[in-house]
Amino acid sequence: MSHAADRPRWPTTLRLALAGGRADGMRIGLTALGAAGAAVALLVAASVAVIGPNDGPYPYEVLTQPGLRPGVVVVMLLLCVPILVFVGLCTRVGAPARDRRLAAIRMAGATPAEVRRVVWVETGLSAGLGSLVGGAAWLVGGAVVQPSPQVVRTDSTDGGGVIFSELVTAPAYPLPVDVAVPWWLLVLCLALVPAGATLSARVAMRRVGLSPFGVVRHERSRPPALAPAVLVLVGFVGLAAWEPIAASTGLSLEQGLGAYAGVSAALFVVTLVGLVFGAASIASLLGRLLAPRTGSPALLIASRRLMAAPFTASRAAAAVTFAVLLGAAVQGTRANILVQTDPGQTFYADTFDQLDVVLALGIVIAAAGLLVITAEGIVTRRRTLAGLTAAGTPRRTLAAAVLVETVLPLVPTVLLAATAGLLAARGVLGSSVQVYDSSGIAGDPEARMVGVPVPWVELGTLAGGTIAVVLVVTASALIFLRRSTNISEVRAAA
Amino acid sequence: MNTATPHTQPTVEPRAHPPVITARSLVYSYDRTPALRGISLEVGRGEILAVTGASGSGKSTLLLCLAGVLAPDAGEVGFGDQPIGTASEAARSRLRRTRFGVLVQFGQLVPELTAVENVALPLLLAGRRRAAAVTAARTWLDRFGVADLAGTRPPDMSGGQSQRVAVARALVTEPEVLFADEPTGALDALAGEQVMAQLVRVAREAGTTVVLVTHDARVAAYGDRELVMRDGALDAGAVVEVSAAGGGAR
Repeated sequence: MSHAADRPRWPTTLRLALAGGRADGMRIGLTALGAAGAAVALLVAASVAVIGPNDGPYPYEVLTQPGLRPGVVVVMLLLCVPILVFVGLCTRVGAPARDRRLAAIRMAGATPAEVRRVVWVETGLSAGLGSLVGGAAWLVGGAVVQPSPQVVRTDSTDGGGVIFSELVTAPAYPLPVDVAVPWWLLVLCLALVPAGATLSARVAMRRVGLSPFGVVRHERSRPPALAPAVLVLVGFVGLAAWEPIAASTGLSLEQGLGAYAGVSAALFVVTLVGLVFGAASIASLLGRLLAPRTGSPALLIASRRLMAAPFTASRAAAAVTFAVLLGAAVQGTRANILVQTDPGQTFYADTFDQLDVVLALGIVIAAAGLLVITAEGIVTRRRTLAGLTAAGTPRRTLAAAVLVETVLPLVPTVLLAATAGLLAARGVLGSSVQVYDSSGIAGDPEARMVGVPVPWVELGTLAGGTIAVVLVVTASALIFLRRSTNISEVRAAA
Repeated sequence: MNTATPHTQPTVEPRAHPPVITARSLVYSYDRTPALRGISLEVGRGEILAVTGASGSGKSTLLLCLAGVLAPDAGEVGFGDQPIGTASEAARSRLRRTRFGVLVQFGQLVPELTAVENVALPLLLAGRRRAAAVTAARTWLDRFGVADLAGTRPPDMSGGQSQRVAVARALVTEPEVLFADEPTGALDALAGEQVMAQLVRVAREAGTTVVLVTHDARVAAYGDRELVMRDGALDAGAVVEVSAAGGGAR
């Protein structure tokens, strides 16, 4: 018999991949859901990219003006980042039950490579199914959604009275669902999602040892590198100090736009890379600071967990940080642009409002990754948690430890990201702008410098809202805590 | 097949010890599978009681009911005059945290905490300041001969070392009753002997009552009395007075 014939056939691999219980069903469902979201985001990006002169009309100027469409494409592609991170994290849902199944398959004679293939096939199929559902939803949406007129209502005061006016626009599509995307681009979008998810699963399995006696996740024993934290420091301090340094050297936005904005943009990228790759460093550093000092049991458990496993939530935390950093840069840009525009001109304000919706969506999706990580962490540690509960440790202490472990490292990261994003926007666009005031002498606009206000409310909403979303999402994972602290878990087989 | 029914078993009483734990007609089932069928017993103050029996006989379930981890389906459990079985979960947790010690075979140590932090944890939960809790924890680690492991995490310890740290943690609050479920089940014979010898010595010094569940005759020999369980009931004919003076195997 040839070596190839010794391998399990694809139908067998398929059956093994789709076997499993409720937790496996949840993992497949969540992976498919995330994949459907990614597929829709990619199809929106593709549709916007190929909008033709005969398509539309659309109610948003970001879609009607060809010069603004590349920005929408970039935003939709960026939205795919947290979605794909979420899909990758979904491969860990119900891991203990799946690990037992994989060990049993190994015990029955499968090689580690064959067992890995079972995992990849499961992820690929789930993501493929989700991608098809997302694609079908988009195409069905295109057939079903009809252009409808938009009613724009404006109120203004004139003397003592209020004037109500309504403007009914021409019928328009809410999204570019009418655009005929070329078939090859459609296939590419739908194929990219399962390909990316399978790749993500392969990356997630690279530190996993598969033996007939169980699945071992080789945690990185070395503490996280300090380099990303140094990058954060350099980037952050650089962004904060750049404007006064540039001013002292005589370099200004007007005199040397390229150099001035280039340095700010470079510092922004340095901070971005540092924050995204430094999530584990920051978590570990916080743990080291708190563990030897705290007298709170919840904080002690959380901080020691951060020290022992700083990489656990780092990918999900990095996705949240990424979204906040971009969000803060957008808020800084909004403040800069709006200070230069006539209050009656709503185009920019409307566009930024639409961007805010996409950003909020990205933050919620990124936070959903933390839900997966938190739930998995609880289930994996169920024996310890059950032992502690049996010894009288209140569940609220354990719940607080879980919450603190997830939220604590994000607080400084989110605040740093929000500040860095704002500083970058002000560095690139300037903290004061020239506006032309024509109210003085008719026909002779007067130029004057105006300081760009710091968008405290928007930044506070962004940072506070993100932390609130993360808290809510993490707290919802606590439903696993009660079951995981059941005394039967202490007596379960190792 | 055990034919014992609730309320029909005689109470197994301690000899020469005033009772600190009392159980009357305890019944407990996992779904439809009965685990305890009307058990009554008393555990005397300062007594070391060993409960033995085959796997699945219900001995661990009995211990968990006596410790207030599980609430019995029927019957009464009391700690002195205080009912345990009918108390709220929060009250039972508080009792385990403050007046009982619970020791299980696996998983009671938090792998991320150092040995001294694991032992200090119950004191921190009781509101003790960190410095005082750590000092007390070091003293208890010293009593069990593992003071040099204070800064070590459980994954870096041997099974015997880990279990000694766990015993120190169970006793650090100086509980009135220690409930131990297969405390040496994961250890080799020598390490098991060492852990039991230290546990019994410290319990005797402190006057701590110990309820010990084991399937190992050598561990059971450390008890003052040995109760044998079969099919969820006490085998009344197999109550063994190991040592009137409470000596046990030494």
